Amino acid sequence: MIQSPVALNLELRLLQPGLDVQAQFRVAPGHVCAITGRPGSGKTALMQAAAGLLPAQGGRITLGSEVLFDHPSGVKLPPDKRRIGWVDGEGFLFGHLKVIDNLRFAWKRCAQPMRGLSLEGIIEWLQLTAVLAHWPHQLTLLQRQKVALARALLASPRALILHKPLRELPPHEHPEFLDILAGMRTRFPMPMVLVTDQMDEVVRLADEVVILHEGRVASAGSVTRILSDVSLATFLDGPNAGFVLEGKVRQHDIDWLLSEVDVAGQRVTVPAVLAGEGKPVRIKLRARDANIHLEPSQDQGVSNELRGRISQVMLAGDHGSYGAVVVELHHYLDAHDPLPAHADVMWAMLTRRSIQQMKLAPGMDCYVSFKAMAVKVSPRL
Amino acid sequence: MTDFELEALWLSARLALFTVLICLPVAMVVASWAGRRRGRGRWVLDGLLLLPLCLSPAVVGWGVLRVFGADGPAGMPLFELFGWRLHLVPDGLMLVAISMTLPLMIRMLRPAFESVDTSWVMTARTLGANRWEAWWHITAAQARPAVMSAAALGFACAWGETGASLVLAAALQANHGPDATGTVPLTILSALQTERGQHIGLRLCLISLGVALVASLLSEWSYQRWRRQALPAGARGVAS
Repeated sequence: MIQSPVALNLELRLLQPGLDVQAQFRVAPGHVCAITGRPGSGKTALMQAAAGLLPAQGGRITLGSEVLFDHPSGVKLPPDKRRIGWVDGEGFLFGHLKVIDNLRFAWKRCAQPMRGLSLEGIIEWLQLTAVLAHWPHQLTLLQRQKVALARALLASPRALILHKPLRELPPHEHPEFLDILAGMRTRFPMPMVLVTDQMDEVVRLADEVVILHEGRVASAGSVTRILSDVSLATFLDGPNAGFVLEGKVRQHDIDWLLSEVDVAGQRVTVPAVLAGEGKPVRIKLRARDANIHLEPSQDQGVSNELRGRISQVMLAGDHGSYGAVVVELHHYLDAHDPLPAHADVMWAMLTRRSIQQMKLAPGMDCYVSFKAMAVKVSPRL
Repeated sequence: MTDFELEALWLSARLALFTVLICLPVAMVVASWAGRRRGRGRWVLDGLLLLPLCLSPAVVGWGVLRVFGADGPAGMPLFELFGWRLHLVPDGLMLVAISMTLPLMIRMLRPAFESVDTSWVMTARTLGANRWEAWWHITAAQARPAVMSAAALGFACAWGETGASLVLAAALQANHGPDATGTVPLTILSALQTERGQHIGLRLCLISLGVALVASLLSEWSYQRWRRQALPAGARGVAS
């Protein structure tokens, strides 16, 4: 019998030395929920408790209709019965076993493999054939992470925790592993939880974000909403804070290797993205790279200029050097498009002088401009 | 070489082998348990486990006699239930060898079990291994070279155990008989007391030296493998 994917419902309370962690969220099958927050906010402990590796002092965890943990009724499955996989950034490959034996360790314990799962299939997908006879210490970091991922999948988990999966990888190997992780949602549609403090990974992989702060859920919601919020983005991403928009690829410009993306019915030009026409993409821009004008720019060099209305002007104190200007994009809809559920929001970080000289105020129409090269664009598979 | 010597060698080898076979699983379980995250006051227990190593062998021999002897707290019920009575060969010698070897093996194994990476164990649990499988395939497997090392040293220790055996031999002479076979060390001692036995003593000493040499080299070789595998890269014990 092949198991069908089910949602993960998690409600936990655990007491750690100096930290009382309390969180509640739900992850739909095929969705990635990012748990993020500053170091020491309890992300790791929370997920360890979910996997059954740390004792929890209260709450309830269910996978579909199956109860994994229920404090009131005393249900407490051991980790090996919960079938929540764990892929760690440090790999945790068993050093006394060769790669193939690491994989077999999981594979022979998997009673009913999920759809599309086989030892050979996974090895081929992650291109591990060449390293099967190697010892873990002989692997490159990228290979190590691939083996860790393959091993976790071979145990046929019903939910997967990705714990800082890129932490040890050198930056030039991030794209390849991110591509693999991004492909998981369609290949193995189970609920996944991404624990990370890197917003790049969240933008690339996650559907929803839960922000944990000092053990409590400070905020939760869709990636575009949370990571476009001025105060949350600044809290999470520091100098890289900005906004995330979702759009669709309209067309590619082969001559210049550029792509045109449709955001709220307006056109954004970005460096070519590997996604078919009509496919959804996410674009992320740093707020300090965005500029605001009241008139359309005459400058031919400005490739992106989106129209919207200022909804908020926030100054960092009355005498600070800068402020944030939040803009809600105008939606240019085709007649057959559904109305968007919420407005697309951008914000720009400007000096207080610019804000006051332009007399920017809520309610004003404006243009937000930015270079194509300032945009980070990633396909949504 | 006389039959007498061969019998002594054979007896010593058997005793040492069985002692190691009995001690090894016990030592692994105790070392694994003692090597876990500390509870309050666990060090007192660890200290008590070490006690036989620090005591004079005479005290250990005397203790074994008192506990397992005919009127001892363990000897009496054992006699009543099974008709078992303490003899010098093999049970008496085995008991003293175990009580001297076990603490040594536990002490050798403890660092190996203490250094096991618990993240590996936890990962194994998430991969579907139950508590026992995770212990056997991860915890014990990581300590394996150290277990080899402890077994080799335990063998040497059991082979050479003399002090407590002498006490026991003296006390149990009555049901042993002066001419019966003893272990190699006991035979050497009695051989050296006679003019005729000098060359027998020398031969057995050299053989004992050989056994001890092989065992301690094997133990250190194995321990070296464990060190390379278990110590962090920057540790003093690891060659760069």
